[in-house]
Amino acid sequence: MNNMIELSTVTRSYHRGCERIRAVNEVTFSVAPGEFVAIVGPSGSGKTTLLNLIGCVDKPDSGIVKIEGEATNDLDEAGLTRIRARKIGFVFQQFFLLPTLTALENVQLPAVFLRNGDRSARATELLDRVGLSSRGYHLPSQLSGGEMQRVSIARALINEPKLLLADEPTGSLDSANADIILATLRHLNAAGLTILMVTHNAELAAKAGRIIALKDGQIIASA
Amino acid sequence: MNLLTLSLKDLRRRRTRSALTVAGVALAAATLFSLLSFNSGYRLALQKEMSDSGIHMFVSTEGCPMEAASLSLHGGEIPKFLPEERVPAIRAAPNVRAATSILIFSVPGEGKRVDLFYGADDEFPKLKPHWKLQGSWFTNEQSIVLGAEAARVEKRTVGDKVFFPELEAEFTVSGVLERTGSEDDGWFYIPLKTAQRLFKKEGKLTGVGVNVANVERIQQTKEALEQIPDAYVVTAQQMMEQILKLIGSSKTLMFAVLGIALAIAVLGVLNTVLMSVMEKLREFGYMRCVGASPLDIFKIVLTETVTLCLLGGALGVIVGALGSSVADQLIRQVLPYAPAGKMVVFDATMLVLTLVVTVGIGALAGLYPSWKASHASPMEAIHNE
Ligand SMILES: Nc1ncnc2c1ncn2[C@@H]1O[C@H](COP(=O)(O)OP(=O)(O)OP(=O)(O)O)[C@@H](O)[C@H]1O
Ligand SMILES: [Mg+2]
Repeated sequence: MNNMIELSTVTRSYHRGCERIRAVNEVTFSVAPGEFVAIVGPSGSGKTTLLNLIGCVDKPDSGIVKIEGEATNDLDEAGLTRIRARKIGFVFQQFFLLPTLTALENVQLPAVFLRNGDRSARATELLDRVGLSSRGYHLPSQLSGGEMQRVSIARALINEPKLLLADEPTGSLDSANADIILATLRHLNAAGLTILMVTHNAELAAKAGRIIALKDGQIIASA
Repeated sequence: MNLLTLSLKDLRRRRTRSALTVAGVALAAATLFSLLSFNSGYRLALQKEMSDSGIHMFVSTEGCPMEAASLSLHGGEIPKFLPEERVPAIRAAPNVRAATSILIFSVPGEGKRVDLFYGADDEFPKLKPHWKLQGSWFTNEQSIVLGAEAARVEKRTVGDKVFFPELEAEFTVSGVLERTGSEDDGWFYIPLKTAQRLFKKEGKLTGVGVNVANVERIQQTKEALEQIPDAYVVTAQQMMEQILKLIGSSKTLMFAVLGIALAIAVLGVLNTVLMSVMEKLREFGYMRCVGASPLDIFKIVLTETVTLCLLGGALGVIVGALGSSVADQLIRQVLPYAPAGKMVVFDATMLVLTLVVTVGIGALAGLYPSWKASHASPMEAIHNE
């Protein structure tokens, strides 16, 4: 059976002035279907960069990223779009909600692009699940950071992806709400969803099935 | 929610800008609609005027028969005249139903006014079956029939006397014409003999108006009439073509103005949509991150553009329809010859054509911004935070 995620010697570097920073440096690892993996590491260690590479919103300079056995390096725009829309739910660190859409509409947005019919009922249900049933008609500008974070989690789940990439999904939440989100993620994981979650919270990471620790763009520990 | 919702959201976000763009498009669409309506209405109005004049052919003498013929509609003077003795031959020609001898004069009256006199015989009313006459045609040599407009200006009605100082002649109004909406309204009709005497043109005619029995045989009739010495014939059809040729250049000018209006509208749409696309490149990038294809983004922006143009086009058609009499007046002023009837005539075809053209060129203007937006990069969107 194919791995859900497979990375081999993936490198992504940025120029800062004349300096070249390897944000992700020859990283190799794989995630089996149904796993719940936490990625930890200090700020700037390359966690977001790594997630972007897996989520097909960034491209590596070298190395191969495979999603369900499909190498994304070779895919054209249409292929990447298909993977982003069908296979992956992405909770971005900065949410990336559309300012003109209400919470409910933001949650539905990926379904619109998938021509998935009217998903407003499911969107309402998802908002309910992340504890935001009363905020459906609010614009992002009318929401707190934690609320926006939960909207973006609901959005990541609307198309029922196989893989959830979550960049600090509880970073802006109090412990009560963080617990709700974690419980939701574990529940989804139990139902078969593969989860790759970045977190600073050691307690949260401990509840994942596996922890990958990054430092300076490289894996320093995997357990 | 669907792609259309996303497009409309964006238009609503920038209300003022959208409204101004719609206004620009509406202006161009109104111009387009009016000119298209004019273009189709003008020919009809001209045709109606020609058929209302009841004169299928105009026989005059050597010189410029076209000029003589247009005199019969508008007034003015020509130096050459047709001898009256040709009239029986004209009447006798095959297919001629009625022929009326005409002597036309325009005389400067009080102030800037020009009085138009139509010396006509008793055949004349036969060529005007649609005329509604209050009173009667000439009852004696000093009778006068007034066109509706002439009657209004002179403030005279049936039975009144009219004195023309410039002619030193007094007439009694035997009839007043009901308004026809054509050139006929402005004339003073006086008996031919009286006109010939007053203007010292005994035995002479400006021409003879001919009404034929069978319109399809006009060409043969024309050829027959041209056998008569001194006779030059011009048909209503020829006149109309001449007039259409005459207004050709005015039309070119009007359509040039239209072209400019359309170009400005297109640039306005392009500017509005391109600006909003540039402001939202990052948002399009976010959409790409959550599964939008380049084509989705393209459609969103193009729909936005088309909606702007459709709104503008609809508004323009309404404005054009409401302002049709204004348009009629404006166009009348630039034309060398305008028929008296309404020229700007609306029909559904023109309405649809206007909308199609507006939306079509609007969509064209939206192609580049849509293409630009569809190339919004998800990577740039998430990196330049
Ligand atoms: N667009 C960019 N241009 C230049 N350098 C970048 C860019 N994005 C990230 N980097 C650099 O790459 C390195 C890794 O960044 P990344 O965002 O992946 O870290 P992170 O582990 O997610 O940090 P945090 O925990 O603060 O979110 C950092 O040194 C960062 O400065
Ligand atoms: Mg990060």
